[in-house]
Amino acid sequence: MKVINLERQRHTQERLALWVILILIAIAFGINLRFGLYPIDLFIALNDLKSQDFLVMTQLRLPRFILGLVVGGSLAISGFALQTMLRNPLAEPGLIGVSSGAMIMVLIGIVLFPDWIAFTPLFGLIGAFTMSFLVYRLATFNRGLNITMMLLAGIALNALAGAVAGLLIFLSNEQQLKTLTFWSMGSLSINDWSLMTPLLFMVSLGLILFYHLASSLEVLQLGEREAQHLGVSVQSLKSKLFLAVALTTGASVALCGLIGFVGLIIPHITRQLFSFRMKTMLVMSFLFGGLFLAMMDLVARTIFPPSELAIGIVTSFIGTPYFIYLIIQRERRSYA
Amino acid sequence: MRLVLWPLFYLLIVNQAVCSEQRIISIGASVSEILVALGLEEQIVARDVTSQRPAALLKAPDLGQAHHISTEALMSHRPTLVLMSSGLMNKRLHKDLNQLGIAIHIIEDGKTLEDIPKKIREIARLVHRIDRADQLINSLAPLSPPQSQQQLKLAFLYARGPSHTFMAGTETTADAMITELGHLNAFAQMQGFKPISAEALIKANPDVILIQESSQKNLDELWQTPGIQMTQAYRSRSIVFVDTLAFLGLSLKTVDELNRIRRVLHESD
Repeated sequence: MKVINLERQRHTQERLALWVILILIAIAFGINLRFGLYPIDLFIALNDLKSQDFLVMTQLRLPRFILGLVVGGSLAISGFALQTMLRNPLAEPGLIGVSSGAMIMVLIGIVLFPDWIAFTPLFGLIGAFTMSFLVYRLATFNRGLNITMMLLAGIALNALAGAVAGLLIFLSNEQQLKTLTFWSMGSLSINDWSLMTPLLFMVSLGLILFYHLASSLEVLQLGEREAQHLGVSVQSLKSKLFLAVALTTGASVALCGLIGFVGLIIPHITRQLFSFRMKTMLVMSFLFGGLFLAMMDLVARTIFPPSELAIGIVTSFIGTPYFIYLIIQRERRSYA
Repeated sequence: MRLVLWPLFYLLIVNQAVCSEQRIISIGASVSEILVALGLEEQIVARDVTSQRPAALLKAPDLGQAHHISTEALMSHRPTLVLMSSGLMNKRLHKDLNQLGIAIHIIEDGKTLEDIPKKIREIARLVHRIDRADQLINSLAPLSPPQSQQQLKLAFLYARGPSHTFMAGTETTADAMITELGHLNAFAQMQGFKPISAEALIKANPDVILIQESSQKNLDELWQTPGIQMTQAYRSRSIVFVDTLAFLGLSLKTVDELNRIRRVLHESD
C-alpha cells in the first residue's frame, strides 16, 4: 500500500513541477511580448490588429519567444541526454561536433559564397550533420560507439574547425567579418517562418526520438553492462541518441548561431531541482532550457538600449561562473 | 480656371503634408550628410553611429552600429522612411522593416566620384526634394587638375586599433580615390582590405602613406609597424592624414578632401 502511495506522490510531484514550469513559461510569454525597446501600448495593440504595436508584438517578439523556447529547449535536452549517456557532467552538445561543423560551413557560405547569404542556415545544417557524422564514424568500431574515441575525435575535429575558421576569417572582408561575428555570438532575431518551420520539424523529430529512448536511457544510468543485461541494446541507443542530438542541436545552431552554456548548465540545474523519471526529466530540461533562453533573450534585447546584445554573450556571462563552480565542486568531491 | 487651380492647390498641400510628416532614420554617414544638405535635419528622427557630420545630426538619437541596430529600437522612433547606405546593409533589419510595412531604401554607396550626384538625386527623389538636388550638385567643388605629372605610389592604411592595421588593395574606395588623384595604389597586387604584413609593405614600397587623421596621435606606433621602416615613405617621412569619412564615404566633402590631399602631396614634392 505504501509503495502505491509513494508512486502516487511522485506522480503528483511531477505533475505539480510541470504545471509550475508551464505557468512560468506563460508568464515569460506575457513579459516577452509586453516588454522591449519599442514601447507597446496594449490598448492600441489589442484594439487595432494593424497597428505597429500589434505588429511589433506578433511579428518581432512572438517568433523570438518561440525560437527561444525551441532552441533553448533543444540545447538543454541534448545536453541532458549526452550527460546521462556519457555519465559526465561536463558534457554538452558541442562535443559531438555540431557547433564547429556548423561554424565551418556558415563561414564557407559567408566568405566564399557571399551571394548565397540567404542559405546560411542550410550551410550550417549541412556542416552540423557532416561534422557529427564524421565524429560518429571515427568513434565507431566493430564493438560500436566508443565514448573515449568520440571525445577525442570531437576534440581533434574541433581543432581542425578552428584552423579552417581562422583561414576563412583571414580571407573575409569587413562586412563578412561582421556577419560572422554576429552569427558566432548567437541571435534569435530570425523572424522568418520559412526558416523556422524546418527547424521546428527537425526539433520535433529529435524530441520524439528522445522521448522514445527515455526508458532505455534511464536504465543506462545503471551502467552499460547492467543495461545490456536488462535487455537494452546499448549501441543502438547511443547511435539513436547521437542522431537526436544532431537533429535538435544541429538545426538550432544552424539557424541561431552559437549559443553557449545552455546545454551545459540547464541539465545541471534541472537535476539539482528535480529527481523524477527520465521521461519527465527530459521534458523538464527542455521546458527549463526554453524558459531560460527566452528570458535571456529579453535581457539581451533590452539591457543596452538602443542596441541588442548577442544572446551568446548573456548566456556565457551567466554560464561561465557556473561552469567554474561545477569544476571546483567536482574536484572537491573527487578529493573527498 | 478654378477647376485647374483647386487640384494644383490640393496637390501642393498634400505634397507639403507628406514632406513635413516624414520621420526619417538615416543609416550611413554620406546619406545623413546629404539629407542635412537637402534641408531635412528636422525630419531625421534617429541615425546610426557613423552619422556625425554636420553637427546638426547629433541632435538625433544614435542607434549604434548599423549591423547591430535593433529593429525594436528603430521602431520606437516611429519612422516613416528608413534610408540605409549599401555598405552598411543590414539584411535582418531590411527584412523586419519590410514585414512591418516601413519604407526602407538602400542607397548605393557608389564607387567613383561620378556616383555622388547619382546618390544625391536618388535621396532627393525619395524625400521629395528633387528641386534641391541640382542646386546641391552644382554647389559641389570640382576636382582640381593635377599640379604635377609625376605618379606616386600611394598606400592607404586603415588602422582600426593597436595591431589592427589593414592595407587597401584594389576594389576598395581607397583604390578608386587614389586613381582619381592620378596616382598608383601601392597595394594594387591585392584585392580588398587585408591585414598588414611586413613583407607586403616592403614589396609595395610606397612613396607616400595615407592614413586616417586619428592615427596622428599614434604616429610613433605607426612608424614601429614591422616593415614600414624599409619603405620610401618612411625614409622621406611622407605621410598624409586623411579624413576617412570624406575620403572613403563618397560624400559631399569627398572632392574637397581629394583636392586637399592633392595640394599636400604637391607641397611635399
